[in-house]
Amino acid sequence: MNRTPRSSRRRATAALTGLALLSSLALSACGASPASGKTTLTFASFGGAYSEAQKKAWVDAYTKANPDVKIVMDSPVDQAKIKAMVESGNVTWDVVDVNGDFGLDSHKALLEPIDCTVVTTCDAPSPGMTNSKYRVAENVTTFAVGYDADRFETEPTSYKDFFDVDTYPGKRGLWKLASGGALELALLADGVAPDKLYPLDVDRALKKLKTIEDNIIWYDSPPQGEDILASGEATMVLNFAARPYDLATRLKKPTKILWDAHIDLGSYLVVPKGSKHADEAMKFIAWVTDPAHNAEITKHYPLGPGSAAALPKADKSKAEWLATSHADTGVGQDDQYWDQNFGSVNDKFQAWLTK
Amino acid sequence: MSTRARRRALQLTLAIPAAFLLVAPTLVVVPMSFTESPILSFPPKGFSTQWYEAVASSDAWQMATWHSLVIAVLSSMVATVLGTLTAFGLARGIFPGKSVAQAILLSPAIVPIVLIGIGTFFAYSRVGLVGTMAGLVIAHAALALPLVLITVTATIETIDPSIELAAANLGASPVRTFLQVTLPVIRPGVIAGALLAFVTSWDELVVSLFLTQPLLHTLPVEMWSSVREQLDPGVAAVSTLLVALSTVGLVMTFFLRLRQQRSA
Amino acid sequence: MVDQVVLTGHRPATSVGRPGLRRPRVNGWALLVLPGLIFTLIAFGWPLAEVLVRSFGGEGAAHNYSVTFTTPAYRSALVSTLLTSAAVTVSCLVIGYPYAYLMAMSRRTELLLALILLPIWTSFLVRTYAWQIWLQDTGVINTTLQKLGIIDDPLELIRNRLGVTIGMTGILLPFAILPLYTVMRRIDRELVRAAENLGARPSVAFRRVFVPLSLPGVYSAALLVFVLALGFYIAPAILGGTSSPTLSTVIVDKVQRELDFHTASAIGITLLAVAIVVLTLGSRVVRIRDVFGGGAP
Repeated sequence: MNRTPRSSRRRATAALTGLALLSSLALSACGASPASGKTTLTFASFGGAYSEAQKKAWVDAYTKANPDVKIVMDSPVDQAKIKAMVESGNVTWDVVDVNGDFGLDSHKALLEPIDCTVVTTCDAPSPGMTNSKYRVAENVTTFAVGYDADRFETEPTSYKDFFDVDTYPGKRGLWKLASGGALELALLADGVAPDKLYPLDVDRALKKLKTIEDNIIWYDSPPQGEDILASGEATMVLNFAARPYDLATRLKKPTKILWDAHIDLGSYLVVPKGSKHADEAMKFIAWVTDPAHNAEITKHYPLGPGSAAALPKADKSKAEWLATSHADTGVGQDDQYWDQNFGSVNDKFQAWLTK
Repeated sequence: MSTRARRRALQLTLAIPAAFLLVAPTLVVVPMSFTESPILSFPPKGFSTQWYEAVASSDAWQMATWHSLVIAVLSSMVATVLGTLTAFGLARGIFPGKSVAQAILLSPAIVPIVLIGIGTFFAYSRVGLVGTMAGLVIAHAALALPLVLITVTATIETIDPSIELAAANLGASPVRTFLQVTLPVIRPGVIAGALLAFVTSWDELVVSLFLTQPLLHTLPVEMWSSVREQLDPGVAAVSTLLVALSTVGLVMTFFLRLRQQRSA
Repeated sequence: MVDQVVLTGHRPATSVGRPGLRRPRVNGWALLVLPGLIFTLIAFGWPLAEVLVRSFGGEGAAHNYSVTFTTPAYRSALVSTLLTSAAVTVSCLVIGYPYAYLMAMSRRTELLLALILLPIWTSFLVRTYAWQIWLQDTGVINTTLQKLGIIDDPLELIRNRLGVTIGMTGILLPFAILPLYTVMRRIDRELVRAAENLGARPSVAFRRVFVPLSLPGVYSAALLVFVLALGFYIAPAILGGTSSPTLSTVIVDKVQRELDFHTASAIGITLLAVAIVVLTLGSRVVRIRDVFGGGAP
């Protein structure tokens, strides 16, 4: 038995030598343990530039103001992991950034109630947002139609042009997630009044989508939706507004948004039931949603503040990219509806997609 | 052209599709990692090492690489030792319930992986293994064990029983025969098994997503977290570094094998 | 005798137990199974039991287990999963066979082996995205063909079954080539030469002598690729578009969006059952009993 371990060890040793620089750095990072007496909060979010913006906007400032608290960020968020943590009693996330479809009454078994004596904005989220006993709005995002201005002789002027592939040629990008905005967009374009949108007439929406069926690229995740617009595969894409923003600012592409209709949704903060630092978690959530700090995110990422009182403080330079600056044409996604109907709508939607 | 040369040319031609499918991903990843454009699209624009600089200055990528390496090395060692022993036990052992034992030992290779993530989280959290390196090593070793078992058993079958008999007749103890005669024969199978085990751990995403914690991300978890948010060429830079690393690994494996062939 | 079927497809001669001697009920070698067996039971069997238990909860086992067949979307996902796996298996065999043959015949085995090992060291995630760059409308293939003036409109290479088959074939090819190669390497080349010496044309000798001898490798490669392909979900999600959904994607949706662990577990166990059925059917051809049943009836 002696030869095998030795040879694999030799292989391993050699591989490690190749990474000597990396590993020594990594070791020093691993060695950092929280000083005694400190509370370590784990804040789970979606990763990448989004998490980075949250860190710059809130986490760094909070830990500076509260030197006895250390915040570790984790990603990606997986709602199934929240459930598994709570059911197994092994809760390691203290604050979690979730989408609008999570944190209503149907998830009450998984979440700590928000302590509204600490958090001040329980009753004052931005318009269209739905706080609950278990969550507080952190920021506002939106599904909006972005397009590449260079690809059209005459630029589209309305989100309705998404469905006019003769005048505005090219492929259209839609998220293949039932609650990814495609159904709402189709119904609005088909003439359904914004206040009559829910409950969704799924059959009518699918019929509308069928009219441009051959021109749709169903993308798998928001970054992919950004990618197909950047690569030129699609000319118009319904996606989170942060994606066209990224193309226009970071990639200097002639990307614009058709703001005459958009489907707004929030990101919310929740505390998984059984968090060992629930009290500290509430304090952190209070800081993030406090109107004095909440608009900080707009300096780093094109998101509207989640607290109504923070709206005036949003970064003016990004105003044209924020859903909250176009509130008059925004339609709030009905979280309650999706919470109760996601399963059945998704089954119908996926069956239609497969045909 | 002679018949022989023609046959040779045909053989090579027919093998091209496979060779293409094997190297194609690498062929695009390497040039993309040097693009100036901040997005992963074709064709790459200009030449820049900015993505390597970004990766080199990122603690997250370095920690993830380190964790993946340690976990892959440890779990492949566990899987290789246990898998090799088990292969001998199954090939030469006589005991009731052998068929059941075989089915159990091979099941990790056929159970759909999406199921195992949650199951592992529930089971391991009962004993405090979630979020620990030990937990990841154990889970990956369990997934890799059947692959070692399959490769090693293949080589056990090729052992000529007469050489073991000869060793025994020359007075070697069973243990000594095993260590000095049998093991060298099966070494290629053991090495192949260890490699597959290493790769299994190195590539494992689904179970790892459930077992990691913020300070213990593995490379696939870090990549997944990154591509879910941003498809930037940083991922291509990390991959190119890994391709370079694996090429170094392959070259070393060849030297190792060359030396073995000489000493054999 | 665990793997002979997977790797070589035939039952080897019994190497223990000389004829005429009574076989003992238990021998010392059996002890070597214990560490691996106990490890697998704890590290893997226990998590699987957790899943099994959950598949009976919620709205009850009857509901959970029938949902795969009664919901149209899941039924077509199941069919599509099987079709994609079959397509990937066939293309892995067709493409992998000549490569394995070249490996078995060539003196440059090391180089050919290196080509197989290179991609498996690279993360499958990266390989999947790399295939997207090859296949998309503005990708390497379409851009090149358009520049050469061969096509005007991009070919539809991605977001359909073709795309997912190409990508998954690339990822699973090593799992087909290695078992094929292991079997081919052991084929006695003198047999083929003898046929040629007896007057058979090389192509006939190859078809009549070499191919039949390599069939066990073909069967085992096919089973290995098919079973592994059943569980894929990231590659189909990215390369496959909407026309080729997979049951694994359905499970992931159930788990992550609906938090319905009960139904998800039952669908997962159903997929496992499908894998077992396929293996059992395969055993008619390959005597997979030797793999999973140790020769039991």
